[in-house]
This record gives sequence, C-alpha cells and structure tokens, in this order.
Amino acid sequence: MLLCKASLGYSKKKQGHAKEQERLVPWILWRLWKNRNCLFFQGNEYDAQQLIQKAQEDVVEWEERDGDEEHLNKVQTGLRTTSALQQATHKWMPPPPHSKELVQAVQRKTSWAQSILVTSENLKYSRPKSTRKKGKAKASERGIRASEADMLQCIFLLSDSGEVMLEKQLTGHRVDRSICAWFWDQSICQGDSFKSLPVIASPTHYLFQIVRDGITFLACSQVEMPPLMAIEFLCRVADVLSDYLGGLNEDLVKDNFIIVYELLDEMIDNGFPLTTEPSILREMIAPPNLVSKMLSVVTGNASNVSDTLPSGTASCVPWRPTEPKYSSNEVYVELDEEMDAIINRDGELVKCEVYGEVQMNSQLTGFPDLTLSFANPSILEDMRFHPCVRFRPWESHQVLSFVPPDGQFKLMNYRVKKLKNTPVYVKPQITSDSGTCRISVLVGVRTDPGKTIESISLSFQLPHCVSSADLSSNHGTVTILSNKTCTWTIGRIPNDKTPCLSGTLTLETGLERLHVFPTFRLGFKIMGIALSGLRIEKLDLKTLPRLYKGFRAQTRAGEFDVRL
Amino acid sequence: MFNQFGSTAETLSKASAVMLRIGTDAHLYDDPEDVNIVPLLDSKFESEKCEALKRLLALIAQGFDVSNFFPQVVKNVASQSSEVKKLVYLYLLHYAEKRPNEALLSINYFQKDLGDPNPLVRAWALRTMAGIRLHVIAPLALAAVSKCVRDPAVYVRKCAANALPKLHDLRLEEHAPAIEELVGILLNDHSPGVVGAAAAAFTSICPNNFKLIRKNFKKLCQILPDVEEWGQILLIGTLLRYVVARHGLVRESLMLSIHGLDNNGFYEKDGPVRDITFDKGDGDNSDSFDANLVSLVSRSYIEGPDEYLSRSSFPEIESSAFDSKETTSIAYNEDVKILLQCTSPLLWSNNSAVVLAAAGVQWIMAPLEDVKKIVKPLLFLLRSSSASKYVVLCNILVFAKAVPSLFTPHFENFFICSSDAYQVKAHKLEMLSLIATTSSIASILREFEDYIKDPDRRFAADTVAAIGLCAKRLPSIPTTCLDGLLALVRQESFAGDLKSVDGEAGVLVQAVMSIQTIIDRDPLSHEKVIIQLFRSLDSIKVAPARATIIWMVGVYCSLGHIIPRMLTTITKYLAWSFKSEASETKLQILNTTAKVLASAEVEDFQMLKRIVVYVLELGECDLSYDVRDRTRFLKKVLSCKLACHDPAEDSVTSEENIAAHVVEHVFGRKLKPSSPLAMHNRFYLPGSLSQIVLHAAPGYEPLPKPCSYVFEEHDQLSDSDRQREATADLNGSQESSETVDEDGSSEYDSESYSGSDFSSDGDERTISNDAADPLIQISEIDVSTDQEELRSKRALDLWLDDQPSTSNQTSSALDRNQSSYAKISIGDIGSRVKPKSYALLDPGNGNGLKVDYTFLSEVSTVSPLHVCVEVLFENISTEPILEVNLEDEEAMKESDSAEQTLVGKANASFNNVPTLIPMEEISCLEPRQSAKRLIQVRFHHHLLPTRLTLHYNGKKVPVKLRPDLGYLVKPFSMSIEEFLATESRLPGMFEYSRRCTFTDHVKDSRKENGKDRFLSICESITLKVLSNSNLYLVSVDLPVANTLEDATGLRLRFSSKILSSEIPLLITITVEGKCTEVLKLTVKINCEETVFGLNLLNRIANFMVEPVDQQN
Repeated sequence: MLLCKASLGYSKKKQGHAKEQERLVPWILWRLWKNRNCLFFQGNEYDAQQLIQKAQEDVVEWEERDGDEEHLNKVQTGLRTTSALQQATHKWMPPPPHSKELVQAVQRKTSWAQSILVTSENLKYSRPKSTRKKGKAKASERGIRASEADMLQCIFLLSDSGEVMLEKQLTGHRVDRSICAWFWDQSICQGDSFKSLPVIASPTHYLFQIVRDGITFLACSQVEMPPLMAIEFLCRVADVLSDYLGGLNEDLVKDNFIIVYELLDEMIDNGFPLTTEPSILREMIAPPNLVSKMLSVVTGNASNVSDTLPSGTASCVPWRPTEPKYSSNEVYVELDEEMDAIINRDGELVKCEVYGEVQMNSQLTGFPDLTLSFANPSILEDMRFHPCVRFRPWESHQVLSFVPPDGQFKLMNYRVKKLKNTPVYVKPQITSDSGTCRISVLVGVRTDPGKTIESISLSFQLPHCVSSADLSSNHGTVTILSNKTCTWTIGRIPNDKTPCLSGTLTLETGLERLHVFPTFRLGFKIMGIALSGLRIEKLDLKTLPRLYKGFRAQTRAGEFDVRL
Repeated sequence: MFNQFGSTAETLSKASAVMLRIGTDAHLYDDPEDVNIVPLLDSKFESEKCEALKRLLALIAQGFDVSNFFPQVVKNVASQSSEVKKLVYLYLLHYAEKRPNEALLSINYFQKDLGDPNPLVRAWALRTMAGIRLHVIAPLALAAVSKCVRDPAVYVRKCAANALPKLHDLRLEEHAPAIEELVGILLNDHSPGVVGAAAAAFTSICPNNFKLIRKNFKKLCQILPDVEEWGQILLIGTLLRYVVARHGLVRESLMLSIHGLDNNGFYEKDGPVRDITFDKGDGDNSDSFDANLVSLVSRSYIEGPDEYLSRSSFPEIESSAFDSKETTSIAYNEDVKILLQCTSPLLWSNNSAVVLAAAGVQWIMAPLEDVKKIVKPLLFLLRSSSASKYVVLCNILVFAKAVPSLFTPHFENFFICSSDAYQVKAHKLEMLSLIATTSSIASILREFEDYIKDPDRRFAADTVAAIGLCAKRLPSIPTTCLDGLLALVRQESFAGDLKSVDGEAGVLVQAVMSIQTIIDRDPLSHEKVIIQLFRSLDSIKVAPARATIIWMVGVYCSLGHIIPRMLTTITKYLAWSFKSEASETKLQILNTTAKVLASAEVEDFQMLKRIVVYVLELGECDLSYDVRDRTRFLKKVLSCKLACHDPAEDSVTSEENIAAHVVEHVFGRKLKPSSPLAMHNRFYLPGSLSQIVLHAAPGYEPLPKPCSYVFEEHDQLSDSDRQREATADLNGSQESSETVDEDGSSEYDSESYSGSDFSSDGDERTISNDAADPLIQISEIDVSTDQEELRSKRALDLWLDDQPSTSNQTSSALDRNQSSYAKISIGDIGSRVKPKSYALLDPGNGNGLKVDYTFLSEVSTVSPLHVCVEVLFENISTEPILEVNLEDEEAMKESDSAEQTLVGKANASFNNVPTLIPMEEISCLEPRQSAKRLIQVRFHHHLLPTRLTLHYNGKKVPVKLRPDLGYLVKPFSMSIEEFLATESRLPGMFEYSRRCTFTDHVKDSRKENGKDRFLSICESITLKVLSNSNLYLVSVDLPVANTLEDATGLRLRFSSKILSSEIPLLITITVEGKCTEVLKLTVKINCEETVFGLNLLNRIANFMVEPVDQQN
C-alpha cells in the first residue's frame, strides 16, 4: 500500500499527466484492501463496480484537494450531508447494520430487491429499471427511450397508516404496488423529511407525492416529465375529490371508491391530464348527494355516469357548460385574504403581506361576459389568473375581463406586500433559571380594523427539552397534546382585560436554561374586511340586464409566525 | 353522568357515520367477496352487473388479482348502460395485457362503438381500445385513431391525440410515419384543446420532428394562451426546442451574455476567475453575475451536464464557443419574438407548472434586461402548495446561482416560516446565503440568529453552515460572524454534553466547520480564533467537532508565532487522549501528529518524534482496522523522519530522498479550495424532473443543438415539387426515412431489401405456367389499343361508372367530380413480370452455398394453406457440395398464442397438415452449378418466418423462410361488376387505405418516348404489383375528363382470395398527380380479415414506393 501511494505521489510529480487508468491503479488496490477489511470485520461485500466507482471518486478527491482526504468528505458535503437524499451524492458509505433485514424483507420482490439494497443506503442511485414484459429484448438493447413510458404511470392513494386504498394504473406499464411498501418503509425510517419530499427517486420509479388531510397521493413515472405538472395534477385530484366527497379521509375514499375510480379515469388518460375542469367533471360524473344515495338505497340502481358528453368539452371556453339557465342571475364576489407575517425575537415585524383570492360564485344564464375592476389595482404585487381571464385588458388597463365558469371558482390570486402593521399583537416573554422557565404571552388588538376579530388562537410546539408544562390563561382555553403541541383558543378579545397565558415549563434534568425557543402561530379571522385594502370598484355585465351582485370580504391569518 | 353523555355522544357520532355511509359503496369495499360474483356478472339486470363490477374494482383497489373473471366481464362490454360500460372499461384496461386472448373478444364491440353517434361512447371506445396494449390489434387501433382524428367532436379528437402515444409505445416501427403524420394533423387542429393533447403526443412520440412544428409555428404560438393548462406546459417546451433548433440561441439573452463580457475567462474552468467574480458579487453592482456559471448553465442546457462535465475535464478538446452563425438576434427574428410574446402572459397562469415552463423560456431566450420579469411570478409560486414550493425553490436556486442579482432585492421572500417542510427550509437557507449582499446581510443575519434558536436542531445546524457561506462570500462580515459562532461553540459545548438532546451535536460540528471555512480565507489574521478553538478542545466532546479542530491543528501548525510554540503541548494532550477517542478522531490525531512532525523545527523534533512513535504504537493495536491501516501507512511514510535524528539532516540515499519527497507531498502541500463546480453543479433544463433529482432521468433530452434543424429550401415548395426533388436525387430522403422505419421492425421487410440485390444477378426467370397467370387472361380479352385511340378518349370504349356508391366516402373530391371513366386494357405484360427473389442462405455463411428463393404464383396442389416456393441452390465455392436438402424444423410447433388465435381460427382444420412438403434432395452440386427445387410451405403466421433446416455436406444450418404477404393470396378472377358488388359489401371497418408515392414510370417514360403515357403508367404500376404479389387484375379505369398530362383518377383494381381462408380481398389503387412526375397512389383494401388486409396494405404501399432499379 505504501508503495502504491508512494508511486502515485512520485509519478504525479515526475510525469504530471499520467493516463487516467494509471492513476486509478493505486486507488483500486487501496479500495481492494479496504473492502477486504470490510468483508473480514463487518461482513459486508461490495461488487466490483462499486469498488471502481469509489476508486474513481478517490482519484477526483485526491486531484481536487491534493491533501488529506479524510477531512474533505466532511467539509465538502458540509451543508449537503443533511439533504443528502435529494442531492444523490455519489458517496460510498458502508451500509447501516439493519441492511440485512431490509434485504430479506424485500427479497421476495425480486425485481427490485437488488436496487433497494443500493438506494436505501443512499449509496448510488440506480436508474429506474424497465418493467416491460413485451419486447424486452429490444428494449434492453436500446435502453430506455422517451416513449418507453408516458408521463404518469400509476396513481396510488394511501391512507395515513400506509394502506393502499386505491390503485389506478394509467398506462400499460403496470406499476407493482410493492413500490408503496418501499415508500412507506422509507417514510418510517426517514421520518418527516421524507414525507415532505414531493419528488422521490425510488429504485424503479420517480415518485411524486402530496399529502392532503392524511391521505397520501402517490404518482409514479419512469421518464422525464415536468414534476410540477404531476404535483399540480395531484393537487387538482385532491381538490376535486374533496369537493365531490365533501372532505377527504380514509372512510370517505373507501366508501366512494367507484366515484374515485371514475373521476380518475376521466381526469387522466394515458398519464396525461384529460378533463380537469370541475364543472365539466360534474356533468360527466354526478357527485354523490343525498338524493342519489337515497335513490340507490331504494331502487338499488342509480347511475352516476352521464350518458352524454358535456357540452363544455366542445366549446372554446372549456370551463363553462354552454347555456346554463337560471331564473335569477346572481354573482357573488368574495375577497378571501390571508395575512402572512413574521415577527422576530426582538418583536420587530420582519415581513407582513397579504395573500388573497378573488372567489366568485356565478349563476348566470347564457354566455355572460363580465368585467371586474379594482379601485386600487396598483397595490397588487403579484397575481395569477383563472384561465378564463383575458390577458390583454389586464395588461393595458388592469381590468379583469372574462367569461366565468358556472358556479364556484377562484378568479385570481394576488399578493399585497410590505404592509405596515398587523391587527393583533402577541407579546411573549420567557425567563429561564435553574431548570424551570416562566412563560407569559399577552395577546391584544393593535389597530382596530373596524370589525370584530374572531377565533383568535395561538399554537406552538414545546421544545423537546421541556419535560412538563403547566400553563393557564385568564381567558380562553389551553390544551396541550401528547406531541407537545399547545393550543390556546381565545376567541374574541374581551373588552375588560387583555388575554394572558402564563405558566411554567420544567426542563429536563441537567438543563439549566432553555436554549431553543418555540415559534407561536397566530390564528384569527375578521369578517367583512380585506386587510390588504384592496377594493372592488365595479362589476359589469354586458349582456344581461337584471343581475344581482353580492360582495364580501374576509381576512384570516395565514402563516403568521411570532418568534419567541 | 358525564361519562354517560360521552358514550351517548360517541354512539351518536357512530350512528351518524353509519348513516353517512348508507347509499355509498362502502359495503362493496369492505366485503367485496361476500357474494358470488360470477352469477351477478351473468345477470340480466344492469344493476346486478354493476354491483358485480364494483366488487371487482374493490378487489382491484385492494390489490387482489381478479383477472380470472375476465371472460365474464368482457361479455358485458356490449351493455347499453353507460355505467356498466365505464366499469367494464376500467376493468379491461387493468387486465388487458394479462389476458390478451380474451381481450381480443372485445374488439368487435369497440369497432361498433366507434361508429356510435354519441361522441362520449366513441371516445371511451377509442381510449379503451388504444389502451389494450396488444400488437395484434395495433393496426386496428391505428386505423380507429386515424378515423377519430377527423371526428367532429373535439373530445374524441383529444382522446385520439392521447391514444397516439399508446400506439407508439407498442413500437410499431412500420406505422411510425403514419403515427407522426397523425400527430401533424392534430397539431394543426383548430381547437386549442386538441392542440394541447397533440403537443403531449408530439413530445412523447417524435420530439425532434421539427418539420411538423415549422408548418404551423405561428399558429401554435397564437393558440398557446387558449390551450389547456396541461397542454401548455408541454407545448411551451416544444416551441422552445423548435426555436433553438431552428434559430439557435438569442445573442442578447443571458445564455450568451458572457460573450461580450469577458471572452478570455469564458472557458477557463479553474479557480481564479471564479473567485474574482465571487468577490465582485457583492451585489452593489446590480448586473453582476457569475460568468463561468452562466456559461456552464447554458452549455449544460445544450449538451446535458454529464457530457459537458466529462468533456470539460479535458479542456484541450473543447471546441470554440457557440458559433455566431448558431445564434440569432431578437431584433430580427420574428419567431423568437412571437414565442417570447406569447409565453410572457403565461407567467400569470394559475397553474404553477405553466408559470415555471414560461419562465424557463424567458430565462433561456429573453434578452438580458427582460429576464427580470420572471422573478416575481416565480416568487409568487412560493405561496402555493408545499409540494410545488419545493420544486419551484429548486429551480429558483439554479437561476440564483447563475444570476444572484435577480433575486437580491427579494430576499425577504426566502425568510423561513415555521410551517415550511425541512427541505424547503434548507433550500431557503441556501438561497439566502447565495443572494446576501452587503446591504441585506444585516437583516439576513438577524434572521439567522432567530433560526439558530429553532427547536429543530438539524435546521439550526444548516443555518450555521449558511452563516459560514455568507461570511465566505462577503468579506466584510466575518468578524461579526466569528464572534457569534465562537459564542455558539462555547454554548453548544455545554448543551452538547446532554446525550438526550438530538441534533445538538450537529449544530456544534457545523459551527466548528463554519469557523474553519471563514478562517480558511485568511488564516493569519484569525490566529487568535484558532487558538481559542484549540483551547476549547477540552470542553468539546463531540467527536466530529473534535476531529475537525484536531485537523486544523495539523493544517495551521506552522502558522503565525504563537501556534508553533503551542504545538508540543497540544500534541502531548492529543497523545494522552488518544486512547479514549472515537476512531474518527483517532485518525485525525494520527494525521495531525504526522503533519506536525513533518514540519517540525529542530528544537521540538525529538520530543515530537517520541510522541508520534507513541501514538503510532497505540494506533497499531487499535480495534478499528481503519486506524490500524492508517497507522501502518503513516509509519512507512514517516520512516525516514523517524529514523533520522535531526530534521535538518539530509538523507543520503535516493530511496530516502523519495520518501522525503512523499512526506513533503502528502503533508506539506497547501489545500486547494474545494471546487464548487463539483458534482452538485449539474444543471438541467428549468422545470425538468432531472433538475430536481439531479441526474438525467430517462428520456431527458437537453435542448437541441442550436440551428441543428436545417431549413431546407424545398420544404417551402409545393408538395409535388418536393416530391419530384426527392426522387430526382434518387430517393435520397425518402429512402432514408424508409430504412429508419423498416429497421428493426419485422425483419421481413429489411430482408426483402437485401434480397433484391440477389435477384439482379442472374436468374432470368419468367413465369412458365401460362395457364395460371392472370395476365394471360387479360391478354386474351385484350383489344390491342393504339396510342392514338387512347389519346382521343372518346373513341375508346367508354364505360360509365353507373354505381356512384362505390366511390367510397373517404376518397377525395375528385371522385365526385369525375364520374365517367374510360377502361384501359393493357397488353401482355406477363412476360415482364419478374418475381423477386430473397436470400435464404448467404454464401458467406454457407461455405459457398448460396440459396435464394422465389415465391411462385402457382397455387399449391397439396392444400390451400401451402405456398409454392422455388428454391435456387447455387454453389459458388470451388468444391462440390453434397446432399443438399431442406427440412422442417420441428420446434416451430408453438408460436405466439395471440397470433395463433387470430389466424388459427381459420386454419384449425388444417393443423395436421405438414409445414413443409419436402423437395427432392440434391445429391451433389458441383462448383458453379446451380439447381432449382420446388417446395411448398405452410406459414403459421403471415408475418412470422418459418424455420427450416438446411442440410448439406452433413451439416445442419437453421434458416428462416420469410413469407411474402403478396403470395399468401391467390388470384381470384372476377368481373368488374362482381368486384364492385363485393366492394360495396365490405365498407367501414373492412376498408383501409394508405397513401404512397410511385416513381417507376418516370424512368420508363424517359426510355420509351413513343409510348402513351397513361399506358406506360398503367403498365408500370401493374408490373410492380404483379411482380410482388399474386393478384388478378380486374380492370383499369381512366377518368374521361382527364387532360393529357394529368393521371389523376386513374384507377386499377385487383382481386384475390386469401390462400388459407378463401376470403376475398379487393385492392383498388387510385392515382393522383401528373404523368411525368411522381405519382401519389392511394391503395385501398377491402377485406373481412382486417388484420391480414392491413398488413398486406402496408406491404403493397412499401413495395410501391420502392424504386424500380432496386427491384430488378
């Protein structure tokens, strides 16, 4: 070994650029030795390819740093070690001791057991393997082509206990549901950071996941596709399902699995979204309602699949069914705002902005053409529009001109930035001394918005090092859940006193003072006012003479963080 | 009491839950198998069928395999109830590939449904039919799709577009051009919904067929805002790729902006240049960006990062930058301008994927000053769902790496809120450390202070790392950072004592590492900090942190004035603590002591040597093999140092000299800063999956090479001109496109090409058996036509087409305009028919034995399934070949079950018939001698070859005899009236047509000037058809109204029967185009056996295109 290293150093000095392979030789020998050790002492074996790869990495490292290689690993990975999963760093680490069980556990799924062994240890990512059955000889010759599989291949719905509630295969390339087992194993052993990772490269597939109300929507693909497209689509599916089922939970999905199947079949065809407009889906597949339920109980049959094609699919405004008829024409516009704010530990307002939506509910006959204008459009910082909004009028004079979909829809999102103050203040204080902390939080109205502030609540997560907490308040209720989440529900602020939460936290033995501090999350709701100050000037309709217009506004707390 | 209430409430809520479940399908999901499903499926009530199907779906949902119900389910496909139909389709699609034979049973229903007046039914049928992935029905599905492409309902056309990738996925190479043509039609659709789906099909089928885009680029751009959001995403990508391939990158854009900036540093990949730009990047200069990174990004987009990175390690190979020819300017280029105009409003789209795709276009193509406008929409996306937030951040990070100045004013957007997921937090931190400037660093650091106190210690550790990065980037702040970090180290070293607190250690380690990175910039001025760290060694218990500090001892051992004096104490301390350290720390102690020794001054040398020897001795008996390895290595390396008594003493022998060199090399060198251009700087196209997972996902393609799509002049000419040009340079492009689609498809076709070479050398065979030849029959009734007579068409025996119904609905408007036809008779061309011969055995493989075979038009006497094949044996070696014979290979008995069922139905009764009627053995074949033998073969499948064994010289050679579709039919003589009657009985799904071109006559007309043009066209077409297939020429019609030059409307009719099943098969060839130019033929087949018919149609179209000289 000495000789190898020595010859390497020497040859480098003398010859300068030796050939790649020559440079590799000492490292291969070195790795052989290390692997022998590994096998001998730890019982782990690595194949030749891994060895060569590691040796190549060694060369690169040597060339790059020309120094002590042990240390570099750490420095280079630095920030990245923690997010190693998505970085797919090609570092070669010995597998953790539980690897053997893992291998045994997945051995029956032989098709990808091998790869699991590799990836679960973050060793090296192996490309998804083709699971094609037909024409495999040709496929293997050519490698994976773009058309090998199209877009999304499969969608799984997982309950919060990891049970596969539904699988919908989208293309001929079937995805075995063992991928869900893999996914669940991973999310158990890697915890939250895995669960919140929306794009996962599994040994065989790329997985896209979103979690909505405890239900995990998992989509699989094997080829390059815009990941946001998959995620947006899954979000859309979740929206439509919760709209149809009146919420989302395990029971609702299971009870209405036929509807879920039918909806998925309409929403996606061959892995490409087909019909995603809710109003048209409603015409194709009737949502379950009380009447149809009763009917099906009484008569035993009620088809919820429409016989005819919704007219919207053919029109140039695909979001609107043609010619709906209403006896009274009504439009309701609602400004639904959320206030995001960050108040730092010094009590300064670091960031305060309002994220709002213009929600509409239109029940209009025929083919109405609406225009909506704001009194102060200049305060809008960013916006996104429903597809029905025409871009030109907005660009030229900031007027929304559109043919609305039928029923409830979201016309636009907007953001108003750099607001100066918040309606509610939170003043937390904490003192810690010899193993106990005293905490007190005051909540009050800072600037009166003119309407009552309702359902004020404050929630925070007690730090891990707190062993017990004794909290009480002079108004409202305090609850502490087993996962150390505290919620203080205040409701409205009384006139006579300032709500105050106070109490003591006992730290774990050995800790003198608290060195980590929780972040408070504030919740509130104000009806009848848009805190951004955005005002709707007028709403015009060209064709219909009689029109009932309704406006309202509300503001809620969005991501409102108060740091202690 | 309260308890009681509680329980009541509980039961109430349970009861209400039960109530809610009434009327849903809950019971089906819970107990799908509590009744017998089969009788329900056979029930005559729709509701019971429905329930049974729901139970099956519940089983599928729960992961059970219920494919054994397939036959019963398939029957229900005929149901009238839309719900039953939908459920059956759901089931079918789930299992079709598993049970291909049963799935075939449903095809007829789909065919029927495709003609349904309800577009929804048509769409469903199409979707399901295309979704059943069977090669056998692929031609049918393709035909169905090509009908639906012209469907009046938008929804059906959309489904047709979605069906195309499904067909393409089956790898039907022979149909690839047809599929691409359909994509082109759909891209040209006027409905935005269809265009969106067509764009999706385009990306997965032929992403580089820019010809389809060029035709309607402008239209596609204009329609873009109206396209459905999902289609928009892919269409944007397609248009971008087209523009890059067609015009190249934009000169004013960010991608090429470095050109003007510094041409010298552009291609230098090493440190200095980058460092300078880092230093410059203090953000006050708003236009500053990292030139190297931008160029890396743009090269990565074009070449893909893997190729680029691998290439850049060999700088000498590197070619020059983008050629100025490969770029374009937005000022002059309309296409680029339109693309940018049409994508910019999409930045307001509701769908975050669309916004990101549009931003990607602007990023790559927009002029530098316009790139700014993508910033706000992108940042707004950060307020969408947490999943998309992560993806968007990943992309923003790339943008910010290249041009941090874009995002510097918006740093507040990256402040972390408590609800962010861990990955989002980590990315935001990276972002903040990237875009921090001297003006914003104060508020950013204040934020960081808050983050350090976060209960999530992993996140806190990342924050510490980010502080290090910020300090590294901004030279003005390190002192403040260092103080904070040192305080943190002190604080954490207390907290880190507690084993119960997770992640605390991580913060400490990260703090030490951050300090190290800061110090590394200017170690001399931070000497005090280093010493403080050394001192804190005692209190720090976390192994990695200790290891890092110990490592620093080694690195900075010769720095300044104080440190060298401390060294002995420190090393003593290290040696003392060696035993109780973790192995990680032990390794560092070994390294450090060695380094210290290597650079030791004279006075300390003896002391240090003893310490090192002591440490090495301890290390040699360590439990960890790594430590032992390291010890042995160091012992050897240091042997020279350990042996000598004075560091100044010169070693005498050369061997020791080398060792000293090694020591110096290993320990003495200064560290290079780690290169940020390492693995993690892999750039993929914005918005791509590869960018998120950081490796090229299968199917990822970088942007096309700039200007790789060369816009040929004749593309602009009218179609006919183009055709002529194509044939003028003797089937240049045409041929290449053909070989592409023939390659690797059924090898049958490629074989026929290679075989045609052999047909030229020698065997001048004419058809001997006159009686069986259909052409003779023609010549018998033939009234010899004079050319003059033909020209004055009125003088010909006119034949009015009195059955307008026969002109089928698909054929062009020409048919309706011209209903009167003249009948043409052709002279005896039987003598000119030369059947093609194919190679059975190559002389190279057969030791000089060459075997060719030719299909004969004779009908077998043994059974209707047999085809007569003439085999020509030729000895071209110098030695005689003995005992030549052909035999059937027994192993052929089993073949693909699916195909068996299709063909097998018809020939079930003939299954006992032998495959091969053997030939007479050739006992001896002298050199240069040839012999002909007649064999009769029964092909098991009309596309698959039959395996035979060739015996000669006592050897056995397996050979493949490939069927020629054209000879699996026999001539079927009928009159024109009979023909038309049969044709009218076979409309709709039994009728298929294909278009192709024909060029043979061009050469003919040049050669034989005197002859009539029409006649020569007819002759050459007939000759071509009859040389390649065994048909009967029924009639040749010419529209009376034709002008001299125009051959449009010329129609040839052939008839035949399929050999195996006696099913009649009619072929009509309609000609379009001018006499002297390339003709367009429409070949139409009417046959009940649709699969066979389609295959034969393809075969005919293929050989018609094939030029004549290749044939003979």
